[in-house]
Formats: sequence, C-alpha cells, structure tokens
Amino acid sequence: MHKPHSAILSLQKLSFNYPNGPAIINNLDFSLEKGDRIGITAPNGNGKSTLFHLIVGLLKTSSGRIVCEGLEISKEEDFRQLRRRVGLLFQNADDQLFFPTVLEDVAFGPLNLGKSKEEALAVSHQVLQRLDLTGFADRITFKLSGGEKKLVALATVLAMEPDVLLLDEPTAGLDHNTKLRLIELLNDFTDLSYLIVSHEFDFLTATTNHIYTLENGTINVEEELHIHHHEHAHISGKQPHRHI
Amino acid sequence: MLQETFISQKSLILGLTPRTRTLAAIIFVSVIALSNELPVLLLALGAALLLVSVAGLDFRQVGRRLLVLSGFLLLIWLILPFTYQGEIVWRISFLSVTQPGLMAATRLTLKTCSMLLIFLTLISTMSTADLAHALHSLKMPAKLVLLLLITYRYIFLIEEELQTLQRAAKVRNFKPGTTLHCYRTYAYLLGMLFVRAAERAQRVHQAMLCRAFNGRFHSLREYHNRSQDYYFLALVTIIALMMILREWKIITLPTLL
Ligand SMILES: Nc1ncnc2c1ncn2[C@@H]1O[C@H](COP(=O)(O)OP(=O)(O)O)[C@@H](O)[C@H]1O
Ligand SMILES: [Mg+2]
Repeated sequence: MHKPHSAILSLQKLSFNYPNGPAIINNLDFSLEKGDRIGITAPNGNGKSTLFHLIVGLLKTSSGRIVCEGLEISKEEDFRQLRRRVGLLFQNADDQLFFPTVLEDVAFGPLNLGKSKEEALAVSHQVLQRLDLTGFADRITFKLSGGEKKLVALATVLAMEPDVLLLDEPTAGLDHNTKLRLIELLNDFTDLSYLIVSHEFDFLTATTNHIYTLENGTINVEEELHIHHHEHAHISGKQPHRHI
Repeated sequence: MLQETFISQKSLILGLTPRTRTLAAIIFVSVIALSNELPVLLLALGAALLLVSVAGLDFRQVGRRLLVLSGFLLLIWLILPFTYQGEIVWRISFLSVTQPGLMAATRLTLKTCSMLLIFLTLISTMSTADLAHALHSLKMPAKLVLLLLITYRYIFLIEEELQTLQRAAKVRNFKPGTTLHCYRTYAYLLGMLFVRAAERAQRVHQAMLCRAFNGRFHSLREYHNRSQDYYFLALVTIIALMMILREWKIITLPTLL
C-alpha cells in the first residue's frame, strides 16, 4: 500500500461478516487516491455491495479502519460527514428514489445539506441538465423505466456534489445507448474519483484505469486484470465470447 | 393496478389550491363528525351534493365509490335499528325496531355519505404528493407528512412485488381455489410480501441516510391563494358555522330543514 495519508479513502485490514455468517470481507486493504478510477469485478455474492455499504457506514465493520484523508472514520457522526463526500449509487435504483417527482427527489439531498430552496433547485436543475434529464423534472419517479430510474438515481447522488462515487452495478438494466451515455458522462467527470462494481468488462475498460477482483474477501492489487485483444480460431468462434 | 381515478378529471375544484381544499375538507369533516342533529346532517349532505355537482365529477365513478360504502351501511341497517332501547315502531316476531335505533342508523348513513362525498370532491381530486404538501403547509408534523409521501411511493412498489409473485405462481399453473394447497400458497405469498417490504424499507432508510437525511422534511412547493380560494373558504366557514350554531340550538335553520 502506498502513502495511506494522502489517499482520499483508505481501508485498512477491514473485516466483516453478517451475524452468524462467514467472513464476507476479510482483512481487506485498499486505498483510493484523488483522481483514481477503479473497477471491481467479481462473481455474484462475493461481497461487492457489502463492501460499498461498509465504506459509507451503512454496515459496521467487525474490525479494521476506514480512513478519510488521514482522519479515522468510526462514529456515526464521522460517517455522516463522509457520506457528504462519498456518493453511493445503489444496485437497485428503486431503493434510492422515494419522492413522487424527480425534481423533489434530486433536491432532497441538497436540502438536507442545509441549502436554501433556491440553491437546492439550482443544483438539481444543473445536475438534471448535465445528465440530459431536463424534461424529467416533473415526471413521477415510479413511472420511469428501469434505465431512466438509474439515471435519476445517479442525479440524486451527484446533486450532493461528492468527491468520490461508488457505483454498484450501474449498467444493470441499461440499454446499449444509455450505457454509452453513461461512459461519456463518467469520462467527463475529471474532478471525481470513483469505484465501479460491474460485470461488464467493456464498460469497465471504457471508464476505469485499473480493474481488480474481489476474491476471498480481499482486493488483490497485485493481480490487476488486463484486457488484451487477440485473434484466435476455434469452434463457434463467431459467437461473441470473452476470455478472463 | 392502483389508480388515482379522479385526479386527471377536469373540474372547477382544481382552480383552488390543494391547501384550500384540504383545509375545507378538514373543517367540513370535523364539524360533521361532531354533529348529531338531523337538520345539521341534512345540511351537510346538501352541501356535499352541491360540491359534487359543481366539481363535475363523473357520476358513475362517484356512484361506484358509494356502492363500496353501501356494504358497510347495510350492516349498520341490519344491526342498529334492532339493538337500541326505546319506543318500538315495528315488531317482527321476536325482533323489534326502535325509534332511537332508526335515528342512529339514519345519522350514521348521512354522516358517512356526506364525508365520503366531500373527500371525493376535495381530496381525491389531488395527487397524494399534493395532499402531503398541503398538510405540510397546514403545519402537520413533518414526520407524518414524510410517512405519507413514502407510503405513497412504496405502495406501488409493493403492488408490483405482489404482481410479480402472483405471476410467478400463475406461470407455474397455480389456480386460486379453496383447497388447503391454495391457502398455503396464499400464506406464503403474503409472507414473502411482508419480508420483501421490510427489507425494502431498510434499504430505503439506508438510501436516505446516504443523502444526509436527518428527520426533517423540506418542501419545494409553495401555494399562493387567489381570490377564489378566499371566497371558497369564506363560504365553507359560513356553512360550518351554521351547522355548529344549529347543533347548539342557537339558531334554527329554514323550515325546509
Ligand atoms: N442481509 C444479509 N444477511 C445475511 N447475509 C447476507 C445479507 N446480505 C448479503 N448477504 C450475503 O453476503 C454475501 C455478499 O453479498 P453482496 O455483497 O450483496 O454480494 P455482491 O454484491 O458481490 O453480489 C452473499 O453471499 C449474501 O448471501
Ligand atoms: Mg451486489
């Protein structure tokens, strides 16, 4: 591990298990520096979502430390502060949208941060515009399509103006074009650092600099995954397929 | 599908802000609930019918809602007239219909009908979101308003989950019936629904924490009263006052009542 004090987010010897369950996260060390764009890929059930929930304090670690810019985060109050800076996009967008209209939902975060009504509206409109969702402000959240919900959920996260994004399977349920839009957007965020969990290699290579796997409860940074293209021939080689 | 039938309908009532309508409904309904004099209740029903016709709601839809109510009212008419002590008006073998019993049933019928009609015209013509914000601007505690908003949002999700479960059962050739197997399946469906709802509630709470939620509710909407709001509220107040004064026997209403 390199220079933990300069990292925005540093996870040190993190461990976690659900009550009466096996260790899901086991002695995990990891740090995220400013400007890092990191992808994590792992089979279902390996604890990716759990890791994200631990980072923002929705679950409590069994042992280990979470350090944000040199400050240890341990109490709920610390996590409250952390959550202003670290935005989590949930795996399921339905969990994240709870107001009847899109605009109200996006403005909810800024209002909680103590912004005035005018400021909150300004930020919300700005974010919606950035995500190409201008026409959505007055739409009813539960009548949106799956992909639209995902984008609106992203808008609600961005409206908090975080420094770090944690995206939990952001492409699940998105069609090809929306995926391309998301890639473009993420590449536009030059001032954001992010961690993306995804099963889609193409998406991760297009949006991140490093891709790691989460195995046996730890992220092994020595075993970075590299994508390379190669030509070969075998039976059913015309079918799209993938080598990992 | 759950639907908000009356929202999209055009109606004069829509010229009033949700706050005005909510306030008027609260005034009417509380006065009606506390009144017992027959003329007062007749006046209430009259006012309610007037509202319905002015609002221009679809009468068939209104009738359908009243029909739902009639089951409950039937029950009342089957029980109340026979269970009160008092002057006997009619005797059917061992059962006797009493005057106070008939009066009680009449009062309840008048009360429920007029309240339902008032709610139909004033409240069900606005979206639940509007209602929540109206209540907020009428100083309803923020926690309750938030509860209403979130219930509204998630009731649709729960319905969706129910449909998903039902579909899962249907594609595996489950037919509703009255066998033990059916009851057990329904019990499982319901159980699953509760478990899923509880889990969802927890995840929503987490999502709210992620957005710096601290128990306070902020509303983006503002309501500005126009002249018709004041006229309407004045009219409502006058009618309500008449009802109260008649209830206390301070005034008498015109001989018609
Ligand atoms: N609330 C819970 N209680 C007990 N075990 C859970 C709970 N949530 C998840 N798990 C278990 O933890 C493991 C990791 O889950 P999760 O982090 O959601 O995986 P991923 O996001 O990588 O698919 C899974 O094996 C799952 O069964
Ligand atoms: Mg997951």
